[in-house]
Amino acid sequence: MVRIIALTFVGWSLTFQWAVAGSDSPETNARFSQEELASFSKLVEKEAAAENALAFLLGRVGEAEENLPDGVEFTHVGLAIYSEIKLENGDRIRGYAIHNLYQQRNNPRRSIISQDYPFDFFLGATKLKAGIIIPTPVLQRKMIELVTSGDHIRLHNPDYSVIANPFNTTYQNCTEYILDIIFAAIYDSTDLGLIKSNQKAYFTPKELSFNPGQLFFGTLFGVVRRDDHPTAIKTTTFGTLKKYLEENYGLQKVIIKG
Amino acid sequence: MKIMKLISAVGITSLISISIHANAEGLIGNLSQSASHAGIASEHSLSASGQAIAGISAIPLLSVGTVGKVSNQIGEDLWGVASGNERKGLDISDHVPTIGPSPAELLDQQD
Repeated sequence: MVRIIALTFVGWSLTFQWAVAGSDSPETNARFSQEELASFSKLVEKEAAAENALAFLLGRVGEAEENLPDGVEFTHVGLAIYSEIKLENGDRIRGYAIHNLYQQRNNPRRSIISQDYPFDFFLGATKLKAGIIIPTPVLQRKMIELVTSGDHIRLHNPDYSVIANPFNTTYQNCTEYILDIIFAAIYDSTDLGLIKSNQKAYFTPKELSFNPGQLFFGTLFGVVRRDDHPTAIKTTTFGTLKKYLEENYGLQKVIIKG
Repeated sequence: MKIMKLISAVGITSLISISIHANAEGLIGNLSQSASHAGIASEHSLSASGQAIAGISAIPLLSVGTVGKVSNQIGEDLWGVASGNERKGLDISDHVPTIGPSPAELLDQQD
């Protein structure tokens, strides 16, 4: 019995830390009522709007925080853009629309680009906590121009890995997609060769540490793909996006809500 | 021999737990798909209270280019606010927009 418990623990420990950049888009949330999610998402919108943010990066926590690797605070990041939203009743309102890379529900190794709203965004939350990174107005404008032109779609790589290496184009996760949008906006180009070479020069990803058992069994059973990492596993996180902008481009404000 | 048994037991246990973990999102997806009609019903009840309603489309208000342009004047005014030092704040509706039902669901509803 002791051995079974011990083995179960070992087995579980091999998997529990893959919650790095989980980008699910569920339609329901068992933890919070729709009223709670509506209220929190509206609070986040008003917080960003109070700072005159026309565009900002929005992070959510989609896994139990105790399961997150050290230094990883949010599991999904999207780009929020101040928009005119047409409702089904014909009314036009002002609020934020979120542009995301989400894992496909029926194929976690593939992703889609999807636009939703803060309420939908936080349906995937395990905690009512939001990370808000407001870039400089000039970068906000450049990112909005990119999305309005439709060029953000050209940056999408549908081959998904939760720990995608940002320095190549083998796989992409939600945070790397946002990183690519930032670089495309800054360099006014969707040339991935140019974008990746500049990311190598100026962006520092987060190195993640996993024990050999986690990597071996994670790879063996297809939970994780790491063949895009020549050596250490390094990926894009909310924290590394914030650090890059702070150090290289400047930031208007960072808000952690919740 | 004991070591081999232990390794295989760990492997099997890992397989089970990894499968559970790997399928978690798929499971959520399947559950959410089957519950989507209930979700829509709930959204309608929120709509009735004036809080949430399906958003059909969203166009960036600062549309500098020619695609999806709402209004040059609105864009210029917003840019003035965003790039200025004064924190006036932007208008945010009290409505809570949500992604609408899928095209397939809309077609089903029209049958």
